[in-house]
Amino acid sequence: MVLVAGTGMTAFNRRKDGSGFRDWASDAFEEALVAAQIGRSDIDALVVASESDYFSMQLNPASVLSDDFGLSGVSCQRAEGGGASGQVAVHAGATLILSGLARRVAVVGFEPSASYLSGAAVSELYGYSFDAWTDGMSGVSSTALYALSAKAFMARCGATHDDFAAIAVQNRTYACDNPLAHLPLEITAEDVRDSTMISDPYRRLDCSPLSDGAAALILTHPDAAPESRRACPRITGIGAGSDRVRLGDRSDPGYFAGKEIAARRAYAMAGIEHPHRQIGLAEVYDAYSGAQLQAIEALGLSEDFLAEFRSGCFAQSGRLPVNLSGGLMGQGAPVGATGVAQAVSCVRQIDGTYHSGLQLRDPPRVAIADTHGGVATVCAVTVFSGEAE
Amino acid sequence: MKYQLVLDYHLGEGALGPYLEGLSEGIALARQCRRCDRVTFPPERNCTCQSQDNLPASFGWKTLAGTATIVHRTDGLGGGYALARFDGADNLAVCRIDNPDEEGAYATLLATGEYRPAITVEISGEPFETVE
Repeated sequence: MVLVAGTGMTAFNRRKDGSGFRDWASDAFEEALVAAQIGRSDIDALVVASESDYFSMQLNPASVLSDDFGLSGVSCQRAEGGGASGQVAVHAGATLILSGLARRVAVVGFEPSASYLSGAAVSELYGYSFDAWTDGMSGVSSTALYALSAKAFMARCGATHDDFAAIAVQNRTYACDNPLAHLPLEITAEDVRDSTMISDPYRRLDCSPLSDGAAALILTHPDAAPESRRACPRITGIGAGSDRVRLGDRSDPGYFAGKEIAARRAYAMAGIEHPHRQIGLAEVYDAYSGAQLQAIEALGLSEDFLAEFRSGCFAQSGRLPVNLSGGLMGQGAPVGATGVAQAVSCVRQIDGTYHSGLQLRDPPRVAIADTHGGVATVCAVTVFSGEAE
Repeated sequence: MKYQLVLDYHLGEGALGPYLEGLSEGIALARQCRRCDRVTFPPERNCTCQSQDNLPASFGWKTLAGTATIVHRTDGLGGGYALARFDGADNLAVCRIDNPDEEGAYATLLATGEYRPAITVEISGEPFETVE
């Protein structure tokens, strides 16, 4: 078991103030450090999440951030798994503690996905996060690959674009109560349907934005947290898995099999036998609206996911609220920070300290964060729980 | 601050060399596992039978007709792309559609031109005639 003693995150948006990723990472780290009620000299390891040096123009970012944070001398490393980088870093930090190699670990994710490069340049670079030889260099976009996966998903299970549009609306609506969110929009399903077609079935409002931002956690061994933080939420399960990198090599291009593997491993570690009954909140990887529904299916959050989705089961007032932060579509998607920010949302919800309009009246006892890189190729799931009884 | 970085790569094609050479000429060169006969286009580096040691000698090359059936298709700002099954292949291929205004369930491979690594296809409403 690993305690999450402190959390911090910046706003996710497109920075226009001349600040850079080192500023955002420092802000998130300092907030988490204060929340954890420990000093920087108490930290003995730093794990940094960032997807690409192309975005930041900084190779070996852990080296500069450890120096910026005043952590010279600590063990430091960078974790990368494409879109899953943030959760991969959380897992790396938790593993350091579980293995006994560290007692207090800072996990910091960041990405300047919005303001450093043009959207067209970032979109092209994203293409190389799939199989660069058969996908990236062909010019196919991330949206087109996700769209092809969505088409297979829709053909198999009967989901429609109306379902996807409902998710796009719901996540942007939640973002309106999240002061750190990139896209708080009051929109309707008609707005989604009327937005520009990017890659059928995905329209502009079905897509997550390119965002700048950072998020941080302070993880500790249960015996290494300050007395005042020993009842804080904890990581009780981590699980990772992978799938064939190319859609065409999968038995079902519409099913996120790697995510199912990651979830099963995380649930087993956390002692979760019935995820649809035991989990009270989920932050899932909604790079596109349909991907949220594909994630709910693969994570085993329902025995009849489409019917339950349509009945409001995954809404704020439902049995298992999903993406109350707004998800990637509403809160934003600075890649390396995304998975860490999901953890921040889960921990604050369990702690009862989340944004007032989004905090669940009965804080969940168990929450999960789910991210992936590629089209659910590199998958990572983390289970968070409240204080043990 | 403005900053520009221009990179000029020279990429090693390795085991994909014959496949890429075929694409440039409009030839569908698939990889075939010598043990289970699974045929893949684009080629897999390791076979799903997982009985091979992934050495080049474990695989052979097989020329397909270059015709395919569209399984899923998406169109939009970036053009048209499809998941298609090439006749004789056991996996699906992501293909760039050269004539996205055309509707149809059939496709044939084109020489790639400037999109050398891409599987580029022309769509048709009727199956293309093939020369055996």
